Amino acid sequence: MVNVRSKFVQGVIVAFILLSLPSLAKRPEFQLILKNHLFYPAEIEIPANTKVKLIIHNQDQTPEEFDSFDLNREKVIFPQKKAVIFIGPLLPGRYEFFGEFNPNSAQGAIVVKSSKLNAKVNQNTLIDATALSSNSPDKPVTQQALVKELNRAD
Amino acid sequence: MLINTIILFLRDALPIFVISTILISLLQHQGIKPIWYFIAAGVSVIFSFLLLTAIDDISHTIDSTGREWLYACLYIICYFIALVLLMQLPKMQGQLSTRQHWNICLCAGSLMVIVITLNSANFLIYITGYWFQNNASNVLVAGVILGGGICASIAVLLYFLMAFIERYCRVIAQFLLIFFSAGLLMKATNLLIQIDILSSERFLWDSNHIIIENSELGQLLTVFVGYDATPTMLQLLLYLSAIFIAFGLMFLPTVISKQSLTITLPKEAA
Repeated sequence: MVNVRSKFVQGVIVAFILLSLPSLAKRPEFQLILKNHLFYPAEIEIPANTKVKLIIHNQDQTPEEFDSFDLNREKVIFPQKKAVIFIGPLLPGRYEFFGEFNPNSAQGAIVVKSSKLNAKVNQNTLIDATALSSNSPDKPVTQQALVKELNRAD
Repeated sequence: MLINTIILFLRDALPIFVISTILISLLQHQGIKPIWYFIAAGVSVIFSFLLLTAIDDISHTIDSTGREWLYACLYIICYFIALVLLMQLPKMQGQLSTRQHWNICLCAGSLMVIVITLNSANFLIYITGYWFQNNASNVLVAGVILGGGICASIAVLLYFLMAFIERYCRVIAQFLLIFFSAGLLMKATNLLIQIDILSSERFLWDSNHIIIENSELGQLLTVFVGYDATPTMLQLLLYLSAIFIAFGLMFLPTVISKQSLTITLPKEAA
């Protein structure tokens, strides 16, 4: 009986290790900022058929819950903290998300583009984050600039 | 904000009311008084506040995936507790030994404590986060009262519906417990997929055009049977296996005991 039980436990552990192997892979990262109950950028473009890591920074003084029925994801983000979720692989299309605690204001979408090339270009595409960048309100920033700014803040 | 509070309260509190009703009804049938429930509820309140104070730190462990790990592990534990509980239940009424009595109370109590703690900590994050925002306390209290009223109504309806169905199907409470615990397992898989521990292939289907997951019916189905509008193959297989294992454990002892009875009876007669 003990032998059967230990074999069962071993089996469960092996199954878990096999199932979690994909998590060892390095995923492309995308940043998202929540400020004044609004997501910046409101739209993020990601490549189709690729799993990506989404890092959400909550710069508000209240908690928020990132929620998406299209993506089947929900995650609480504490004030002045970041949260990490993985999304995809997805087919090309538009997948909406919202802040469950402020659903009327905190809204956004993940736009999945068909080719990796497109998404790579889009990572450098100018995004309108004028409300976010208090230092230079007239100057739009790129996703890379956003990452730099966040790293500096950390 | 009022509607949002009601929706959030329903999402987090409905599973508590449903599992409470199922377990109270199940244990009442075994002649167990509901003292275990009050003890479990008291412990849960303490645990909820403890979790609320620690959840921020827990969330930021293991590369900001600590909360998912904690919730997923506890949901999986819930499923196994439900299995143990089902195995402990006697097949015939009035056969409960003292040891079985305590085991059943312990299983039901721990299941309640985990479900209440996890769900109420979720709602407390929202309440405590917005309590001091623009004098929102009145709206939050009103939302909780209205949400509580709706949940209590559903629980009472469920209790009497179960009592009615029991005339035709004695094991309805066990069936509901199996589907509820399989639903918790689905939640666990969702959390593990979200943090990239389980692989996430494409969705098998999207049944949002039939029943929207966010709708009232969708929420009810999610609580009762773990409804997911966009499941993956892995999730579907795990869900079906969880249900088959639970039904197997529930019915196998009866089948074996019946078989042994048919084998031993002729010998005794001879």
